[in-house]
Amino acid sequence: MKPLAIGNRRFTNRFFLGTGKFASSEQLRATLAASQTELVTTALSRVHEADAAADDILSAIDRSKVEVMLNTSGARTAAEAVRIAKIGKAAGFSWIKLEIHPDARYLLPDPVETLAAVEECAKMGLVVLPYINADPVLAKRCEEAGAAAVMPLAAPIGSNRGLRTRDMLEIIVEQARVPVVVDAGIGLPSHAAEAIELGADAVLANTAVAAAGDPPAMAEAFRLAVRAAEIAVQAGPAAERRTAAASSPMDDFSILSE
Amino acid sequence: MFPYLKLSKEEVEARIAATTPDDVAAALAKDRPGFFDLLALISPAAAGFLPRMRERAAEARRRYYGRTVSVYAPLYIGNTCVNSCRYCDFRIQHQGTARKDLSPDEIRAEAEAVRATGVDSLLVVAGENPRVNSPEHLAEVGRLLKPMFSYLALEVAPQSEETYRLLFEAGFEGLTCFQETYDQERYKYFHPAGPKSDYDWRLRTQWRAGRAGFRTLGVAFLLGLCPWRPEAASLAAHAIWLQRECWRSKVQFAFPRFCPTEGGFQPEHPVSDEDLELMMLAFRIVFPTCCMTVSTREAPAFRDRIVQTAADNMSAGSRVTPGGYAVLADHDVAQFTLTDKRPPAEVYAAIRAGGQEVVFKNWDNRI
Repeated sequence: MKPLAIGNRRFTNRFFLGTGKFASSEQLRATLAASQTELVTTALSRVHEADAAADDILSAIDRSKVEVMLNTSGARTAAEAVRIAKIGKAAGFSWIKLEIHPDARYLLPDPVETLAAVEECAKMGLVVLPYINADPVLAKRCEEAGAAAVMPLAAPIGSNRGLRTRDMLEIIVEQARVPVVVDAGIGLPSHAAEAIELGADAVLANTAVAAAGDPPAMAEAFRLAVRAAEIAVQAGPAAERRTAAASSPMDDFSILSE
Repeated sequence: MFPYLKLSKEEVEARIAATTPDDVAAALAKDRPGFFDLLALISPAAAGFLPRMRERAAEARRRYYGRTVSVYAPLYIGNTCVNSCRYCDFRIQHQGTARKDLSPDEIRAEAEAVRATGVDSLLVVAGENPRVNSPEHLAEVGRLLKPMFSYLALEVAPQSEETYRLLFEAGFEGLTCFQETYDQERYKYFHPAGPKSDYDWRLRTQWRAGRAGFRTLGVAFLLGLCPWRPEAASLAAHAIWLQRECWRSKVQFAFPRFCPTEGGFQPEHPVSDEDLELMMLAFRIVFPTCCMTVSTREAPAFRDRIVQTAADNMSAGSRVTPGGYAVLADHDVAQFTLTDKRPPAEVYAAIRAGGQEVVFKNWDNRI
């Protein structure tokens, strides 16, 4: 497995965390510590970016160790998302997760608006990670438009249903030239491990952790599962060569130099 | 070896040699076989699996191409050439070849003769001659032929990305360029002079065409120049690289094999019928969605069989002589010897007898 680098930052932990839905900043702080995550995402609409010290989310995060990626949650159009990105940039946030969902029920991302916003944000020099449906062609288009990584969904956000889009995720992983972060729908540590085993570079979860009975314990479970899968991929699963199990789709691009 | 492949020739050879029957069986059982499975499937250990490979390849072929075979014909617009390829009768030093570059009227006459056979997909071929291969001339040929065929492909000397944009505009949508050999040392030996001696420029031909919008990118090596297994590994790596770089285009494999002729070039590493079939099956299994064509160099029985299991595309009634369809009655200036000399109607009949449909039109140039 290639070391994970997004933008110009290297990551040793492939588990990323969303910061919504936590009961308190104390609980968030304990969960972040247990997850040992190096990247969190938080909605600009939720934070008081002008006064980070007083903000209950930002104050829980040690930004010298953890990258904060603002997200555009709530935006319904590219124009709204780009406005959020600009406000974030002015406040010193150079990472942006594009979440553009006009659909209020399932919060499914709008591909047309998202692609347009990727182009705009990349031109602004931001590190752009679009949240997209598991659409391989859209993933390639986002990559060409300047996305630093793509974030396809495993299942509808908050559904905890696991890798429902598995076949499409496999194609995205096979074709991508930027990191693939599986986002949304991951409900259990085993789902996260499965995503890494199929070749994803990282996994982001939020609801599965925040809504668990003991969020810090669940965060630790996710961290361990992701790490276990990473070690397994590096170890080269024996079963793949001896049985009819699906091959690692990562194999083929990894035989080539850049 | 293909230069962007991280494995050395020795590593590839060692892997192939170490393949066990278990590895072959595992590769055949996989849902999504990859590069290392291809190495297993072209190994000597795979020879014992030929019947299973035929089944597995035929199943993959049917899934993506159904029961259809698309047909095309080559149109040689010229055979003057400034290159010195040691194996080719078009080379500049070769005295025995009568040289001919067709005029626009002759090209039209040839094209009409091809069109009359039902073929609607044309591959335009020429030797490397800066005059014949000038961007303006090729674009003119494209504009001339575009109204007559639903699909035009090009097999001429490598061009710049800018020229490919011009040619795509003019009507060409497919491109074929054989690397001849991926072994850089041997490449130098076989191509001692002329523009073709530049290995890297040739290697990136499909990449430039892909960036210019070409839909189909043909790749191949010449079977016989060098030991075929490392070449096949390089060909696979080349295809994977093109899929990574040009994801909008599809890759097409060809397996042109030297058929030694009397007094002609004698290949040092001839490939047997069995090995050729094994290789084509392996590529079909590992690259189920890629196109694959079977050469007119092959015998009718082989061609009729391989379009059931691996190839989805074949030429029919090919003439590999400039003017060979209509302009010249009988002139021996062919680039290579044809083995399948059946007229198009017989080729179509054989495809239908095999339970498959002949597809003439797969695209429309007006789109």
